[in-house]
Amino acid sequence: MDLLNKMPFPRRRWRIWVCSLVVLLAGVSPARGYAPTLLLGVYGQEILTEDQGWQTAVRAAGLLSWRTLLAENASLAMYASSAVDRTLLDGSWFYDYHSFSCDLLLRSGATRFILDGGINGSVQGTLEGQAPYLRPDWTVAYEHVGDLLFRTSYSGYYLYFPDTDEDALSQELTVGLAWDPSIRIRYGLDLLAGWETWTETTRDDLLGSLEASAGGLIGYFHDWSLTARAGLRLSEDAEESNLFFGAQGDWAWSPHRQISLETGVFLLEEIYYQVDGPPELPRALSAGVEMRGDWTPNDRLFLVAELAASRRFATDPADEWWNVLSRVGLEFNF
Amino acid sequence: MKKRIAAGSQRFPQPLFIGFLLFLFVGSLGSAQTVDSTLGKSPYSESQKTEIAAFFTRMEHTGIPSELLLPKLQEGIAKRVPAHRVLAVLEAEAESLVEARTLLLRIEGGQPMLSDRASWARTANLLSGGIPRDEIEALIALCVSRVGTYRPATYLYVALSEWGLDRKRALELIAALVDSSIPPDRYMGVMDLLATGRRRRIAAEELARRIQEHLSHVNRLKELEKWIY
Repeated sequence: MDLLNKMPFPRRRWRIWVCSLVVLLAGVSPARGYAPTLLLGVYGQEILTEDQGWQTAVRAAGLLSWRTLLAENASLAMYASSAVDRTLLDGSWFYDYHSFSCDLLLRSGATRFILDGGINGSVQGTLEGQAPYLRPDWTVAYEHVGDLLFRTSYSGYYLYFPDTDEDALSQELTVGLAWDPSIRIRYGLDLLAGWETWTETTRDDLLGSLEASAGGLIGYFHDWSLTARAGLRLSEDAEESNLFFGAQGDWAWSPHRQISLETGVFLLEEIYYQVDGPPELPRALSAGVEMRGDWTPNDRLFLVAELAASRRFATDPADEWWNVLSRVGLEFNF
Repeated sequence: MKKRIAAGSQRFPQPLFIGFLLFLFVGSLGSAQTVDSTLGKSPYSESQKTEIAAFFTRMEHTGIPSELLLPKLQEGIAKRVPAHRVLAVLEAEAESLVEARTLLLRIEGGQPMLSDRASWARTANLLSGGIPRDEIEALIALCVSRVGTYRPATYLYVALSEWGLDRKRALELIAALVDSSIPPDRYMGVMDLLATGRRRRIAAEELARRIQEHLSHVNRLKELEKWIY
């Protein structure tokens, strides 16, 4: 946490600036808030993992989002969500996940500024096996909207694990272009450079990646996207340097306001290399699929079903895993 | 139950891929085709060809251009529909075109839209698809000063109605779109905004209101995503 104090912009001054900006913008025009979205849900879920077998659990979740227009050219939004899981068999456990974030949007002509900050974490750990943690994150982005959309951003996070010595600080710069020659097709290209440091050990990693994407509409009711990514991690930990190649595809369909279906697939190939390492490079291939559907009779009550499965194949058997998740629940939108 | 007409008439329902093949086939015939040359390639008997040709002549005399009816004839021939059924479809189509002409002329400033054959045909298509006359009139009135917005606006309107958006709200949304600087060929992106909003549990009517509010400030719909959710 000491690193936060060493950041170039002292926290107290940062707060003063943000508050001043909000007051200034609010003074230009009275703030007009949209009706907030408040959602509560309860779910039953089955999780099958290689090491734990079947786990039956119930989940209670809540979501609150709200956006207000500070002026004609500025808006402020906040999102908060929380989920608590409790397993029912083989000794019961609580797991939890919480997040909160805010964003401030400013526009002037073809220029956009976005300030985004948030925090997420877990007190007891998550059902997916993540240890208790706290993760503040932040983004500052600039966009220029023309025939091409140009975007550049600085973002980062600090990952704090109270029970282990794996705290990490990550920062990255992104430069990207987006082009949508028609409503049916859009393209994007992003170049990312990042730095990760493990603050309680001596490990530093450098990251670089290139991401290309395409997407668009098919008819009025289908939306699709494809993303391909390739990159390189250079790590001080000799066993962690790797090349990676990933692809992801998503498709969403809502033929009527009562129905929505989404599905996504991903592939990630990692090739670990060491300068003086073994001739056969360790590799891992992760793949997964996720489907989600919901139905509502009245925009208030939603019946939700989810199915997800993922698997990791690796040359090191200890690095292999798989899991399957199915979840059915009810959500109420207030 | 109303017919689904967002993707065009479905008078001869067939699987989608066959429709696509026909689209390619009909497109390859070229727009310069005449009734005679089209009938010349048909398997119909001479008396049937004469009957259909006479129908086209009669329609020309009542002010219905052959080019507005020819696609139906080409479609019927390509699908090997018997001549008497093709003629019945042509007569129904002509009736819709006459009705559409009356509707367009009833709206102040509707003449330029009538001169645009595609807009005229689209109006007939809406009528034969069962869209209420008062709603078509409202759409014409909204787009009459920008004829180029009419067809994209009506396709979007039908899609919004089929999706379940309140029709009054859909008309208000289209009015805001027509007044905005969003290019008409991008109007269908509104459906994507609504579907994304639904996944975020924002009611469609509320989201439509937010879109309307912001349309005057943006040049592209994609940009709205940052302001309405």
